[in-house]
Amino acid sequence: MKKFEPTVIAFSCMFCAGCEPVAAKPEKSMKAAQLKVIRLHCLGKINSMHVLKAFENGADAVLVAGGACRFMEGLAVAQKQIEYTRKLLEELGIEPQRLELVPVNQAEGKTFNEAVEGIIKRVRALGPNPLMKAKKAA
Amino acid sequence: MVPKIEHGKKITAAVLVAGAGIAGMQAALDLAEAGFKVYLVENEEPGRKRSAKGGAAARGFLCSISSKLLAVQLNNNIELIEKARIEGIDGVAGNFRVLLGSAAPSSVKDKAAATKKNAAEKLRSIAAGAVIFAPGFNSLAASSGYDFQAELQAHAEKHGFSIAGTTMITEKERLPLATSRPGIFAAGGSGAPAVRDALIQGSCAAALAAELLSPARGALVREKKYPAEMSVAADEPSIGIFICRHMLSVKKAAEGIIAGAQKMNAAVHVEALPELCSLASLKRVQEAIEEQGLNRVVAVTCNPEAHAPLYQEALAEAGLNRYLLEMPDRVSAGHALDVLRMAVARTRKLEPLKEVTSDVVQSGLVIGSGVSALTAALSLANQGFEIYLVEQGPSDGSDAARSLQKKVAGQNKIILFSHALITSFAGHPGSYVTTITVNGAAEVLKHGIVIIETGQARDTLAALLKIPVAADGSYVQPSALQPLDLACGGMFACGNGDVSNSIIQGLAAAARAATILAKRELVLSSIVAVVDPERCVACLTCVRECPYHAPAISEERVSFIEPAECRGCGICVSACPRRAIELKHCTDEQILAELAACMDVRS
Amino acid sequence: MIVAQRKGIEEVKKMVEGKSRILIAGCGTCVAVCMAGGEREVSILASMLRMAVKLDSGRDIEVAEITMERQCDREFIEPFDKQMREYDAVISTACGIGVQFLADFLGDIPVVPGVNTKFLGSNEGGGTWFERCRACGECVLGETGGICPITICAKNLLNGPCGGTNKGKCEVDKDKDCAWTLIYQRLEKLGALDNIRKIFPPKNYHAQTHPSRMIHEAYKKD
Repeated sequence: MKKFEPTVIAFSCMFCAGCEPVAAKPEKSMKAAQLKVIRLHCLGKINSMHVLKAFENGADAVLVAGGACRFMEGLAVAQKQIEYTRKLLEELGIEPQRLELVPVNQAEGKTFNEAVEGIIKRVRALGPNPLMKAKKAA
Repeated sequence: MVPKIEHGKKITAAVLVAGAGIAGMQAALDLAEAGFKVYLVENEEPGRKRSAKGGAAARGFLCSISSKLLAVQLNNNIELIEKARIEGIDGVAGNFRVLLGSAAPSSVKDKAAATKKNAAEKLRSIAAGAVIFAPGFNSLAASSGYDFQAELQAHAEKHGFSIAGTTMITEKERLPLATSRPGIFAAGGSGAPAVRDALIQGSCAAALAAELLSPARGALVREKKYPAEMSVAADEPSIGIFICRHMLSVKKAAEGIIAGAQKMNAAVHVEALPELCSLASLKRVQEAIEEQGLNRVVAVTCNPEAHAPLYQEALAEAGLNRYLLEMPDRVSAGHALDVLRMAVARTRKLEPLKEVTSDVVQSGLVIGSGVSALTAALSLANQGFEIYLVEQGPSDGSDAARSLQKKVAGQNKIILFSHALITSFAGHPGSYVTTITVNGAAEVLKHGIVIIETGQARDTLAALLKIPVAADGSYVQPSALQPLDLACGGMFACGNGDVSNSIIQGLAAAARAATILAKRELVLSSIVAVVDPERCVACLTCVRECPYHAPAISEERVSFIEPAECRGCGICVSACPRRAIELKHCTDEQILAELAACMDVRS
Repeated sequence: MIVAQRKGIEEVKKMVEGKSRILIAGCGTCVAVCMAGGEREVSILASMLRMAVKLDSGRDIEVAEITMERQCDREFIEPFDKQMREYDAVISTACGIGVQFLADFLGDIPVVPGVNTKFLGSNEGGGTWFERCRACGECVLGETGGICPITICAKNLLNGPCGGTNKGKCEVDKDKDCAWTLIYQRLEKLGALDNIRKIFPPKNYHAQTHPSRMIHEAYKKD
């Protein structure tokens, strides 16, 4: 059986973490896993709608990464959306730990990598998106 | 002190910068943006030795060079003169005649070729109001063990001046970066070759030259003309994908990536180019746009943030709207196709965006009471701009500050508010309105830029001015390539350290601010939120959510967001209950297209 | 405005159990503004429903999304007539009014609610809504300084406060303000404290029967 390599979708703000997501020495585990980065002008734009779509499409984990918001409140607003979305995931019976918002700093490329590493580890233990398992079961 | 040219004497509104290193390029860019013609003279071929050996530090360095160099090459008011050097400088401050000859060849082959041409070589004479010597490395090979001071000293001896260096101000008032010959300045010679210091010194020299030449500002610069923008609305997307060869180090992988990209829907042209951050590659992209009838471009470089404005400029020069450009994150060969797939899906949905501009209020607000704030205020005032100098705390009692305070008192373009408190702040780059309370009365100040001396009441001021602050308390910068700029645009920071550094930073901040103040109109980002009046029911959600109070209910009884006020954070877009607001260049359609592409879902 | 709140996904899923082609119809007015049933919420509910059914049974169901300007006017519903009739069930995220209108209109296709209609209230901003009016049919705000005892008083007293009032807080819920203390203070500010002496007669509940109807003589059609 093929080893489970999680697909992680990262929404990042183009200023805070966007530029060098795989720059500072992408870890070996990150290379194996599928990391897809969608850059937004600011995390303030992110909504439950987008995150749910990512899971509906089969993502194993969603990471939202941002730092000292250039536009003051974007990160705080995103935090509320993510907390709410985790509740919705819980309602569905999808583990809320699959969704995480991590504050990062552009200067510290490693912190973004650490966040990705962390979520990959966690998701490896959780297994694939339950929707995929359900598909197989049907 | 920068000498004032006698009233009535001729001033040539051009500056000759000798040395296209980081300091020289920054000086050139700041001066050109502030209304002065620049001749940038370099004895080598800029960026010639571009080996990427040396790891992340080397790569980072090359990135700084490449984006500054490209900016210089795209600026129509900077003339880059390669392989030349200064043979002599005649004349006086404001009115120099600089003699240029060809630079000594650096290889035997070149030497042989040069001797043949030598006889017929003519010296070129350039009229300039000021000269800046900015010895600096622009090739990695020369960077280690480079002796700036020695090179500067050599210039000094040849052209008859002595270097003030960066010594403390004494009664004789030696100014950092000024030399003993009025009108000739030196930058980058501090001995510290760090990129940040070089950038700051370059800006500092620009301010000094600008002070000298400001009465003639604008005389020799031309507005850049662009071809009429192609209308792409009716056409199917036709995308050109350009990838920098450095990212495709493994040949077989590279071929696979290019072949894969060519199969993508709407990808009409795929090309790998050497050093996508060079002018040659940029020109090739423009050529391809015309040849292939491309109406959208995907460009993959190692530093999309730094290169994006330059590629936007390239598109504009080729008659395409600046926002029909997508520059995805750096790819590693393993993920390249995925990244490209997502980028192409997004690019298909990109639309041309209207330009957003703001009128510029040609005065500035300087907040602070120390050497650096005083210097910045004086420099801008000397350059002809009205300055409001707001001191929130007690005045600086040092000798250096006192001597500057005397000058401020004598400069009638500076209005000083002591023991003042900033109570409200609104506006956007180019046009701000600040209310201060001084002696119990309120004053309303209108200005185009803000300079903040670091060390000012950080939290309250940052919150009021909406300056983003990082976790460690420092002001967030937009990029390492603009060390004094603040992330919120239109604002600059200066200060700290010894007197000499404070003065250099104050002058540098003034030079950065002048790039805005010298303009009548400022172009802002087009990534703004736009309300569809048909869908809006004036529920006030956006009005309440916006950190900048940009939306307001108009006479038409729906919300309207002034484009110049909007920063594009998207908070209102996410919150709007009717999805009546669209964030241009970051639409839901574009995001969902990317999501669908990255999971290979047929939407 | 009418304020509603989304129903949990389990409940919604049960209501459309066994159906394979579902339409979610949102409303662009009150429920949109209180972030419960507008276009965005319809999209979220659609995603969640597809995922919930898949997780439950592995089945893929079709969930389509539309949003009407309002669901309490036929004219806004009619344009979607043909489209709606292609589905086995419709989930309406409009308030109770809209759900009923839609159900009447569609007749033989089940229409189920996606939200719970909670109250008439004000939009305070920052994602907060407060109930302000109980639509009692006999407004006394003129005599109570603009503060509604029917809405705020836990016992709906017209001649309060009751004996349990405690330092401005209500005995039923000590986190709630005592309505009549608020009314007293407001009348005092207005210089109209005399009003507090007025005795309201017992409420005539026949004045407001349910379901109510209102006809305006000047505009009624014969």
